Order: sequence, then C-alpha cells, then structure tokens
Amino acid sequence: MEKYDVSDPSDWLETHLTEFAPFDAALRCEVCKDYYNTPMITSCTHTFCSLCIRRTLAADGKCPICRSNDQASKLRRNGAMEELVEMFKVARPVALRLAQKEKISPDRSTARPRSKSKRKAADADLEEEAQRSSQKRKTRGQSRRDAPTESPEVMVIDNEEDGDYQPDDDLVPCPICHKRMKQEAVFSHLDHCEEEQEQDRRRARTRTPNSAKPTLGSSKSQLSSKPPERIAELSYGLLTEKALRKKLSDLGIPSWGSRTLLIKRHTEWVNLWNANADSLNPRSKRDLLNQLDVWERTQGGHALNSAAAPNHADAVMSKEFDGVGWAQSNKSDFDKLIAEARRKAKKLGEGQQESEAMMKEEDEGSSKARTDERSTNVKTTNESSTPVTAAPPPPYLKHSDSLERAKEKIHGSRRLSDASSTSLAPEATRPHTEIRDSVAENGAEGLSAEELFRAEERRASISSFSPTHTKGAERVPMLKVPEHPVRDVDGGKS
Amino acid sequence: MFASKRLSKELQKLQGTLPPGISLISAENFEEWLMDIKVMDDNPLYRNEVYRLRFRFGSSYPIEAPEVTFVQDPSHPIPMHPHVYSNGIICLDLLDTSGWSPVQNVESVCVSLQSMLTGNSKNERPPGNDAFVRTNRQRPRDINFVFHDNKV
Ligand SMILES: [Zn+2]
Ligand SMILES: [Zn+2]
Repeated sequence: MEKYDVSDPSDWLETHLTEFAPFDAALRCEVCKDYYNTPMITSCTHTFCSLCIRRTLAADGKCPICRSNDQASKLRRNGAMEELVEMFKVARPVALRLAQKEKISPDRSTARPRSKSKRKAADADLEEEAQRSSQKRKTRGQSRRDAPTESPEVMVIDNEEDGDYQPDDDLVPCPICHKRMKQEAVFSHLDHCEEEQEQDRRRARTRTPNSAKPTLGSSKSQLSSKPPERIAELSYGLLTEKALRKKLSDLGIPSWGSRTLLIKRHTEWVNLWNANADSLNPRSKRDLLNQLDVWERTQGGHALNSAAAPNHADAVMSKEFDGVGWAQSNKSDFDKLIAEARRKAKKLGEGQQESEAMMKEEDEGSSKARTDERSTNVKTTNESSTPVTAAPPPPYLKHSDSLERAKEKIHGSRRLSDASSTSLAPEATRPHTEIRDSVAENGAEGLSAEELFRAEERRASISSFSPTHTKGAERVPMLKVPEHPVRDVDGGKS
Repeated sequence: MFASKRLSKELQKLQGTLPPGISLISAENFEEWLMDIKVMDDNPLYRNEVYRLRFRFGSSYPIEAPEVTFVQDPSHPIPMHPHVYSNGIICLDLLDTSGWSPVQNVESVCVSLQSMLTGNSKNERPPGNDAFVRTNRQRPRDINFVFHDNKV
C-alpha cells in the first residue's frame, strides 16, 4: 500500500521559515498537490508528475494550468526538478524541525543583537546550527567549544545517528535514506529503500539523514543509458474491435469487455507504462499490472456501474459516480487519511474544535447560525489580531497585518482590471497572470512569504475559469454525445 | 487512490481557514462532501441565506470534474440565478468537461459559485427551467450544456 504524505507547504507558515512555504509549493504538482513524481515538462513549460499529466492529456489534451493543447509524446523529463525535489525531501524534515524549534525558543532573536531582523536571525541560526551539527559529527566524542550558546535541541537532532556515521570511505550514500554502500549497489537498493526506511523508522523513530552529500548525479547517468521503451498511443478510431483486442493481449493486459472499455483500459495502460518508463527508478511490469488491476476495480470493467451496461457509453461516464464499489475498496484508506488529516489539523491548532464540530454537523438550523458566527469571526479577527472566540486562531491571523497588505495589493490591481471588464464574477474570472503580475510589480520583497504563497495558491486555483455565462451565453441541456480521445499518432500503424 | 490522496490534502486545508462565507459542513468519506456558501455583500437576492452545495467525487478526480449541485432542505433554498436550475443543477463551464481543469479544487469551486451569485442581479431561472426540471433524469455530469452565444 502506498505511503501517504500529508505534508503541506503550509507546514512552514507556523515556523520561522515562512519563506519556505512558496518554495515547498513550487516543488509540488498542481494536479495531485504532492511533490513531483517523475516530473515532466510540457510544451508550454509547465511541469507535472508524469502520470498526472499523461492522464490529464488523455482526458482532454490540455495543460491543466494554462489550457494550451499538448500531446503526451511531446513531454520531456524535467531532470533538474526531479533532483531538486529529491534533495528537498531529504532536507525538509531536518529543516522543519529546526525551524519549529526556533519558534519555540522565546528569546532567540534578542539574544543576538547583531541581527537586523527576526527573519535574518533565524536564517543565521539555522546556518550556524547546520554548521555546528556537521562539525559535531567530525568532532564526535570531543568536548564542544561553544557549549554556552548551543541550544539543547541541536543535540537531540543528531545524537542518535552518531552510531551510524561512517568516516571517509569508498562508499556513497543512498540519495534517499543516506545509507552508505558501494556505488554499484545504490540502484538495486533504491527499489527497496522506502520499505527499508519504513522499517528503520519503526526501529528508531528519531533517526535523521546524515550530512554527507548524496551523489545522485552519478547514479542517474547509469539509468539514462538504457531508457525503457514507450508504448505508442493508438488511433482507436482506425482499429476494429478485434484488432484492438489483439493489441491489448499482445501487451499482456486483459482484453475482455466492450470496445469502450478496451479503449479506456489501453489508455490507462499507456499512461501507467509510459510514466513508469519516464521514471528514474522504473518498477516491474508486475507492479504495473497490479496498478492496472486497481484501476479495473475502481474505474474499469470491475467497477460496479459499468457491469450493468458495459456497452452503453453513458455507463462509462456515470461509473465515475460509482460510490459504493469505490467506497468499499477505499474505505480503510479513507479512515487512515482522515485520521492523519485530523491529527494534522490538531497539530496546526487551526480551530480544531470548530472543524471537528463541523464535520459532525447535522443540525441544519444551528449550522446556519454557525456560518454567520464563523464569517463574523473572520472579519473581526482581520481587523485586530485578537481572536474573539475561545478557539485558537488560525496561524495566518498572526500575520494579519501582512495579510491585509497583500489583500489590498491584490484588490488594487483587481479593481483596475475590473474597470475594463464586464465580468460578473471578478474574483473568479481574473486571469491568473494578473495576480502574478501584481506580485511581480510590487516586488517579491515587498510581500511576505505567506502573501506570496497565498497569492500563488489563488492564482493556481482560479486560472482556468472562464465565465461563459457573462457573455450572455445560454445553455440548453440535451443528451451528451460520448466522446473519447482519439489520438493521431504514428502508433496507430504499428 | 489518486483521488483520495488529493482529497485528503484538500480536506486538511478545508479544516483550516476558508474564505469568508465558505464553510465545510461534512466530509465523512471521499465520495461526497457538503459545503455551505453565503453571499457576503448585500445583494438583496441572497441576503440572509445560506446555500448548501453537494460535491460528488469520482475515482479519477481531479482529472475529472466533481459533480456539484445545490441541495435544498428547509433551511437551505436553491439560489435564484439564470444558471441555476430549480432542482439545484448548475450550468457553469467550470464544472463542465470543457471548462474543468485539475488545478481547480473544492475551495476554488465554492469561491467561483459565490462570485457567480454575488455578481448576479437577475431574479430568474435558466430558460426552459420548468421543462428541464420536469423531464431530467440524468445526473448533472451526463448532461451536455450546449452553448448558444447570443452576442456573436
Ligand atoms: Zn502529480
Ligand atoms: Zn501550460
């Protein structure tokens, strides 16, 4: 079962390193909101996980961010991004822990009169501590010269791994877990690294990566020397059902079901296969077949609705709403995720009681009152940073001043553009580039990391909304003609 | 898997701070969530009302758009709007296959619908509302809203 990472860029907002929130967000895919997994760059220079963008392009042939047309065959690996992400994932827990500890120490910045601002002090502290902890590894066992200024938490962080530390040798560390091994062994190790890490974590929960520089570059070149073959997309319209069925069985995937199902299954297989082929650490075909089997049970021929009318195109569309089958196959995942999300929300202290209460909210009448109360609450707290209710304030309220400033800036530029447009829905219809521009004009330094982060989030989520209804357009409901992506690629002849 | 992972991230956010007038009502699973929206300005059409939205997610969300409808109950009416049918079905290209993008999310849909109401001054239903509401047996996602642009 996949591991769930519910980490989020907003994790940085309650630390001294709020600048890391937009940094963290920039390393994540806009489709799945996770760190890029095998990042691919589109013709329009947007980057997504390979599987995310392949599925999206198979569905509508458009870039999720800018809606330009694109084709899967034009995707290219974004190697620099991949390396960035992998390195950041390694550095993140350590940096986050340091940054959180910083926040707790009350007189940290005042203890250092030379620092010009809190933020700078935090950076300086982090650097120093990073230096100190790497020093400490070298001088392990020796007494520490700077004991008076050293905070106790630094010791906590690398105490436990002293035993794992190995001096200079011919070994290289795994880029993920930092275990040291012969260079040739790194690749086969990577296949099991995550599982082993998980086990290690159970054994020693506070283990942290050691500071030696990973040598991802060298291992990368080994792989890229033998890129796995991509499967060509097919022009389904040109194939008879019999020919299509043969294609599927030639590929070694199930070939039963209606033509519609065959096409959907082939499309999914091409996405899975090619995304895997893009990966630096491709998995076995058996793994992929397992993944296809999951698809079969949730969206394919074994999903409940489609069995009812497998030849009817509508069944394919409406099976997306097959809640029952899907709920069954995902029930335990859901519980796990919910538990995780709740734990997380609690940790964040973002009005936990309120959210919990709202999750259980059944009574319609009181929920209305609650909504009123809630929005009033938000308004009030924006004016003064003192929350009016007993619930702990959301973290951003601590920055209410800067948040207000950001709002003003964004509103200001919005007003300008609204003057020249007849938009009914100014918030939603603003082209995303304008928010970005307003940020750019004001200069990144004028805005705090949080402001940038929020503006960026907004930009991402509203970018593709176009208000057809504002043009006086009128829509008439009628039966939908099923459409399937028909790709025109050379693969059709093969 | 794909959908649940992404939805769990969204849920985490929704449990935190939301834009004024938008609130999470229930999210007991990854198939169906309820959200409330409220128009924040003094638009007389929507004053003092809270509207309830039901989101239904398919297993390929966010590649596929969620199904979003207004739901009616004693304390939540269906808002009057030229693109909202009286049975709660919403005609908005953002929610249509052609207008949806995977970068959209539950919050952005709520914000868009809130804005759509905020900007409206017409106290009317879409043309053909009565016939549509009487005859429609399809789920919103299976309906194709055809665009007739009167201005062109
Ligand atoms: Zn992704
Ligand atoms: Zn793009």
